[in-house]
Amino acid sequence: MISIVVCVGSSCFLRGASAVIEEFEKIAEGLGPKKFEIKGSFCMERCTDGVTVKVGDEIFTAVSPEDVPKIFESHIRPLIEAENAKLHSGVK
Amino acid sequence: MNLKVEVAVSQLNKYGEELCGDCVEIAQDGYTVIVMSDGLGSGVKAHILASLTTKMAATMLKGGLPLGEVIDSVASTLPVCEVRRLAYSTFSILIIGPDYKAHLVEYDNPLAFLGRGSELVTIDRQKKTYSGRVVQESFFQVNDGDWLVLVSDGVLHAGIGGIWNLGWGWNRIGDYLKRMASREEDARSMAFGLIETTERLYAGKPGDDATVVAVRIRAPRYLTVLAGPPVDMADDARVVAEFMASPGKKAICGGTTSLIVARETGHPVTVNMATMREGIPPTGQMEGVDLVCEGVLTLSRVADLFKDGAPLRRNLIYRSDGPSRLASLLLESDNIRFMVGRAINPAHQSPDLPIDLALKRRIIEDLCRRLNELGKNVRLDVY
Repeated sequence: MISIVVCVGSSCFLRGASAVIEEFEKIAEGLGPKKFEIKGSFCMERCTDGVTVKVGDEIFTAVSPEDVPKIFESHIRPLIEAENAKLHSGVK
Repeated sequence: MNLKVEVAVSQLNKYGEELCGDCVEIAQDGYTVIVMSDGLGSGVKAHILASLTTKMAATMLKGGLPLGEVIDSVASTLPVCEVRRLAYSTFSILIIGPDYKAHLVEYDNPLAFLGRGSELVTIDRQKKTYSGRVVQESFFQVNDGDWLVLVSDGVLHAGIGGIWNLGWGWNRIGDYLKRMASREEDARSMAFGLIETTERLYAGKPGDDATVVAVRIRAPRYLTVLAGPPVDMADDARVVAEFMASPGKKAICGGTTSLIVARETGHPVTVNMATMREGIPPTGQMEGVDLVCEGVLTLSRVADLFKDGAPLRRNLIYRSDGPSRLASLLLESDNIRFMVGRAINPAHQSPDLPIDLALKRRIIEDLCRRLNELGKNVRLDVY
């Protein structure tokens, strides 16, 4: 399962981590069956430039809810597609 | 054996009265001295009689004066009621020594309840006369798991002429307490629970002042709260080792702090997103630690919970959010140690943030004061 980690430490939380999580949840719901999971983290050591989000090894800082669709299209959708391709090749 | 004698009081004023005619005085310092008095009548006059009785008796007993002298002095000091030509107020005196030997003296108050686990125990009382007043005196040993409840007659008469023909009554209250003792953990929940029911039996209009003093004897509970990373990173290992080795329960307040503990112990932190609430970050989990939560926002919510008097633990235990769980841990503990790191998170200094995150230290100090007022042993160490 693909994991997206959103920081919910004090600084990121105050900078709107819950709105970012909500946005990711909306996208996840729109996809039908669960394609990725949203996890929390208490600190990613980027407190001054939160909200911090991690997809795979990639870290995004200063994420706002408006950035979420962009991150999804550029970094998460390719991962989902790659995972789907792997599954199908396995079926064959 | 080192036991905690936890004492809590809850009171109800007679309907329409501003002052309670029952008074309670508690002193705890090696010895636990509790004096409860019900002044004749109600309102101001009763309050003066009762507070004179409790204040004098508690002060003299603390000073180690013999009981006969105490009762004598109280009797000769109380003002005589113009209407009834009487100088009178009831009293119950309970003294528990450092060896957990209890001495109970009761004069015209309902008899105290002694419980062991969820059973009532009969106290062997002897009639004795002190300066012309016949009192009931008893000596007994208390142990881990015992509890005592002192009530004024306002509790006994709850519901009189309404829900109960003759009031709630001693035996029924005893049964109620037995059930409560097996359910409620702390003295405060017992005292407040009994008063709540008393008020309901009076249908919200108490016909008399009502007072409950609950005492629970049990092993002391320890809690250590680690909040904030040490100012010098070189201290991390030492502070974490000290924290992990502390007795009783452990709580970590702060994201970065939890990561430091995870790094030093090798136990990862996981965040439980389901515990996130409006404006409150979620809690986490870590092996060997009872609660992991975010720092300053959670602590300021806890401070809010304690603002108008301490919350009741029984109202918090079914809530899963960080502030409720931390408050519940604080309430159940007797010896609380805050280990507070002074490292400053540069992100918390930002003027863009809606609240001042640098307040943590002050919030903790304020919380320590309130916990102290609740009779808890609080210690604050900074690193």
